[in-house]
Amino acid sequence: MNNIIIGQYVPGTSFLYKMDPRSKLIALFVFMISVFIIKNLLHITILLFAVILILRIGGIQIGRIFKGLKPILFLLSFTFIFQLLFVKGDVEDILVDANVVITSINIFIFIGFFILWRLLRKVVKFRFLLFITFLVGSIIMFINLTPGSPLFNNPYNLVIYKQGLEGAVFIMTRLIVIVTMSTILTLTTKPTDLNLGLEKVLKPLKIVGVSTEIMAMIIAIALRYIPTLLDEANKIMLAQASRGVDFSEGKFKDKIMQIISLLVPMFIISFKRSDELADAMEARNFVPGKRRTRIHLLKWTSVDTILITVSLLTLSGVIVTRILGW
Amino acid sequence: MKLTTREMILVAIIPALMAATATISIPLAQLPAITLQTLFVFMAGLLLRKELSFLSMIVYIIIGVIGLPVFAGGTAGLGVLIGPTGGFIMAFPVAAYLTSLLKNVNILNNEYIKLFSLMFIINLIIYMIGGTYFMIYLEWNLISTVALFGTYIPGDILKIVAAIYVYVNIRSHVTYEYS
Repeated sequence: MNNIIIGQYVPGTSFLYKMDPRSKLIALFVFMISVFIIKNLLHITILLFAVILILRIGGIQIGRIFKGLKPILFLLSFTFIFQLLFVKGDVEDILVDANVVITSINIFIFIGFFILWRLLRKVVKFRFLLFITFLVGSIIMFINLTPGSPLFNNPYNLVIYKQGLEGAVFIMTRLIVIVTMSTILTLTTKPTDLNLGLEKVLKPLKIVGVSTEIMAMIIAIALRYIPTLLDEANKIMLAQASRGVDFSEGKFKDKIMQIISLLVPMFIISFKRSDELADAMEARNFVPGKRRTRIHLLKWTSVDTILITVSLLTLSGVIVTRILGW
Repeated sequence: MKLTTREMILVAIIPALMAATATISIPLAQLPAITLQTLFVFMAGLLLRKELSFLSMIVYIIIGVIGLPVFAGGTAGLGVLIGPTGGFIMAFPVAAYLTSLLKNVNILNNEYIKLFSLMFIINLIIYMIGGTYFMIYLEWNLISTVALFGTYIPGDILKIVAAIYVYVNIRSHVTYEYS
C-alpha cells in the first residue's frame, strides 16, 4: 500500500519530466484556447500529429494515453454515430445512399457474425476495435448482400453526408487532442509539483479574494491524507467483513446498512485525525496565509521558455488563419 | 478568504475521504451501481458551513484534474471534467453550498422528512445541471436523457437515506457545523 504512487504520474527521464510545472500549465492553457479557436479539419489534424510527435519524443507509451481516453470512449463513439446519421447537408455532398435490407438469408449470416464476435471477444486485445469492425461489417453486409425475401416492408434508408462525416471526425479529433494534452501533463508531473505550480500560476486570483497559498495548503493536506484514509477504509471493510457484512449481495435495506457500516467509522476516524493534525500544526505556530519557505524550489530553464514561445506562436497562427479564413 | 487551521483541515478531509472511497461501487440488480460521490457532497453540506463545503468541492475537482483517481469509478484527469458527464461534477460545489445553506431552514417539524425532501430536490438540481450539460454536449433530446439518468434515481434515494442516517449518528461526535 505504501509503495504505490497515487495519481497518474509515471517516472521517466525525458525532457517533459525536467520542465517546470508552471510552464507546462501555461502552455496547456494556451494550446487549449487554440484548439477551441480552430474550426478547420486540416488544422486540427496537424495539431494531432504534433501531439503524437511530442508523445514519441517524450517517450510516453500510447497505451497510457488510451487509459486517459477510456472514460469518454463510449460517449465519443456515440457522438460520432449521432453526427454521422443526423447531420444533413446538400444533395451533391451525399457520400453513401443505400438501403439497409434485412432478408431471410442475411439475418443468418448476421447471427454467424455475432457468434464469431462473441468468441473472438475473449481472445483479442482491442475489444472496442473489434466491436466497431463487427458493427460496420454487418451494416455493409446488410446493404450489399440481399438475396431472399425482405423481412420488413420498409427498408431503412442510410444516407451519409460529407458534412456529417467531417463534423464527426472534427469533434472527435478535437476531444482527443485536448484529453491527450492534459494526460501528458498529469503523466509527467507529480501531483505535489502540479499543486505548487498551480499555486504560482494562479497567484493573480488574489484580486478576487482567493488566496492560492491557502488553497495549495489544503490540497497538499488532502493529498497527504488519501493514503492514510485508504488504509483506514481497507481496515474497516475487513473488520466489517469479519462481522459478516457482505458488500456485494443483499436486499435494498441491507445495502443501506452496508454503506452506513463503512461510513460512520470512516467519518469519526477522519475527524479525530483532523483534530490531531490541527493541534499539531497550531503547536508549531502555523498561521494560514502567512509567507512560508520551501525545501523544493521550482527552476525555470531554457526549455520552458521555448515551450511558452511555441505555444504562443501556435495561438497567434491559429488566430491569423481564423481571421483570414483559410 | 480567512480560514483557521482547523477549518483548512476540515475542508481537506472531505476530498480525501472521497478519494479513499472512489473505487467502491455497490452493485444494484439491473440498475447502475452506486458510487459514493454525491453522498459525500451531501455530507460536506451537512457537516460544514456553507463557504467551507463549497471550497471542499472545489478542492475535490482540482485534485481530480491534477491526476488523482477521485472521480466515479476511480477515473481522473481533465478528460472526465470536460467530457459529457462533467456537468455533474461541476454541479457538486453548488449542491454542497445549497445543502448547507438550507439545512437550518425550518419548514417542517419532522427533521428527517425535511432533510430528505431537501436533499432530494438538491439531487434533482445536480441532475438538471449535469443533464443539461450532457444534452447540449452530445445534442441528445430531453426524453432519452431523462430515460438514461432516470435509472440512477433509486440508487440516489438509497444514498440520501444513508447520508441522513450517518449525519444523525455522527452529529454528537462532530461539533464543527456552527463554527
